[in-house]
Amino acid sequence: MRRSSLTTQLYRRVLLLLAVTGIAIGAVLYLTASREVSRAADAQLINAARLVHIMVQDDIAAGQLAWRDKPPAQIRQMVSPQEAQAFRDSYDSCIFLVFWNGRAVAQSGSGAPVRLVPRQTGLRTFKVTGNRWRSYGMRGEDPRLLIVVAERDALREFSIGQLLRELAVPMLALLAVAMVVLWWTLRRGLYQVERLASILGARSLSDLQPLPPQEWPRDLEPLIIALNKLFARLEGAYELEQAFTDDVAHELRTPLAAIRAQAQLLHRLSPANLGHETDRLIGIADRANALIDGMLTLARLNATSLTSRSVDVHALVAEVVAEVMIEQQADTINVAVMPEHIVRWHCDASLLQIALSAVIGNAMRHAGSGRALDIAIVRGSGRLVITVGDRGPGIPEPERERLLRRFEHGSLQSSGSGLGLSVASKAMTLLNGSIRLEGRPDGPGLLVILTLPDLPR
Amino acid sequence: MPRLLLAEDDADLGPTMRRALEMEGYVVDLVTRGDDACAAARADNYDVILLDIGLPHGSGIDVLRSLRAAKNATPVIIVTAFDRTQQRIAGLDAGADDYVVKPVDLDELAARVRSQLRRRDGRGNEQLTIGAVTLDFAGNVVTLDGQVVPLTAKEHRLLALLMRRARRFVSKADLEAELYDQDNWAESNTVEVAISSLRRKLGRDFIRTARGLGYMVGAQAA
Repeated sequence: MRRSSLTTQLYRRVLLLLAVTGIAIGAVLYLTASREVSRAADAQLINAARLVHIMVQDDIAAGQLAWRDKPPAQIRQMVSPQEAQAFRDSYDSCIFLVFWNGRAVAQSGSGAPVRLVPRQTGLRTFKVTGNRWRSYGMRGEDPRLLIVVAERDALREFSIGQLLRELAVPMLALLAVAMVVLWWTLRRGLYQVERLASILGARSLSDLQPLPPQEWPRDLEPLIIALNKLFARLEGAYELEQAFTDDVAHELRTPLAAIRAQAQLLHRLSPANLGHETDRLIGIADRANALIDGMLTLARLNATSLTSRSVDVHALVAEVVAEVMIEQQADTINVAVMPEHIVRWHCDASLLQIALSAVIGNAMRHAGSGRALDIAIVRGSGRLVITVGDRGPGIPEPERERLLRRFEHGSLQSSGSGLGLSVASKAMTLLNGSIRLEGRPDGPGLLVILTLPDLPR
Repeated sequence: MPRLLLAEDDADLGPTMRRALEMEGYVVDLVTRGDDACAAARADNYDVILLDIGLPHGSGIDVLRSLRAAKNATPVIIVTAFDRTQQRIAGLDAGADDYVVKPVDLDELAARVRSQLRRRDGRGNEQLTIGAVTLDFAGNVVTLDGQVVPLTAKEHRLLALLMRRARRFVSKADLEAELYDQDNWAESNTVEVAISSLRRKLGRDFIRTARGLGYMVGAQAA
């Protein structure tokens, strides 16, 4: 199932709301505007009627009674062609009719509209061959005079379809702009959430500092408070674990230190023929200590935080080889490292050092009769491979997997803690890398292959 | 005779360490509590103080802080089972001169005490001692077990660099660079020749080598 995105969801809803609101506003605007326009059109109609009234005023004054028996053709002269032209100039789309005593005495144009015009005062609506017309009738001072002005009601025929056709392009453009602006606004609005995610993502595991709530919008406050509570609880748990391992380290190492010191003292004071026994005793104490070190390292690895940076792996190998040489007093081992220069890789330096210490320490102990140790650092595409090869007895294939697991001893008797390779394995897992044990094709010995991936920066 | 104060609460380890240090020729006072350590350090003038961290009645760190606050500059070596880097940093920041993790080798402990005594005597800056070899910067003299070893100028420069960076590998390139200004065109094997000569004079195992890493002194027990 695809997980829903908060932004997309909000975007869809706001877009829908925007559309509904837009349509509603459009409808209201349309109704208001059409009412206003028809009111304006009616006012124009009334003005036109008044103009006609003015035009016929003088003729009526001249001899209204004389017209009674004359044929309509003569009376039509009441509105001169000049006057009719002036009317058409002002009210292009209007027609007018003048009735005297119920008979039409003057008119502009002819045809269906003229015949169908209602001979009534006031505003009327009528139909001519399916088209809506609007008329206005007014009486003169002499009630026998009736002036009717009519006009095709074009506005009411202005259909919504046509409106939409005309508005389509600007509306679509407006909509597109609104969508883009809306998306941008939403992304900006949710920027704080993204910022929170990136801040938390960039934190190392050990950074349990509470987030300052005043630096965040009020809406995020419950989340920030919940996170801070979680941080506090984790911190408590880490501290407890840390205190416990410190305690274990102290409690186990102190008696061991006493045993070792006693053995050394014994060695100095005892007759020469006991030297071998006291040396063995010291060796046993050292082995127990190595075991404690290994267990503590494993326990601490579980609560380790990763801080990746660019590391000179060659220098790290040099440091580890020096440490192991000093620690093991390995006098005659020939160590060779390839290449001879800086090799940089992006990873957690202390974890890699733990893995290298474990693997190189193990290899030095088991360097074997060949007394040779070959270390190679190879940068490949997207990964770094470090191989550590010794000339010791090697490890039989069925045992290799088992040795990488916790608290298991190889069958070899030696001063190793038996945890070295499992410590290395754990460290490599935390580094997102891997460890592999192989036999050597060119003779006896063990090849340990550490692979590190390229981390996203 | 140098006087040492040993603060160690473990009933077995404390007396053993005292015995071993006494065998090295020191006068050792042993205390088992933090407050006793504080009182003893204030009352007496010790040459070196060996301090455990996990002491009852005032931890070693507290003792150290109160000593340093009272302008007591006696060299302090912390000897503890706490081995985390942060703990080491905390110890050194509190004013410790050295930090050793248990179980500590008695020979190493004695060497570290000697080193503190040398430093206190102001010889630390002019002298470097690695194993049996001592390099005196002031007199430009190298001794092996107290006997002066004659060295060429090149050998002396290489040895000085190696000893300044003891217990770490010094790359061949760095050693060549050290000789460069002296010998404008160092032969490609100048370093090898000088090193093998140094080995002949100072002992084969004094200078360790690893192909690809370089050379190192100080790999043997102090």
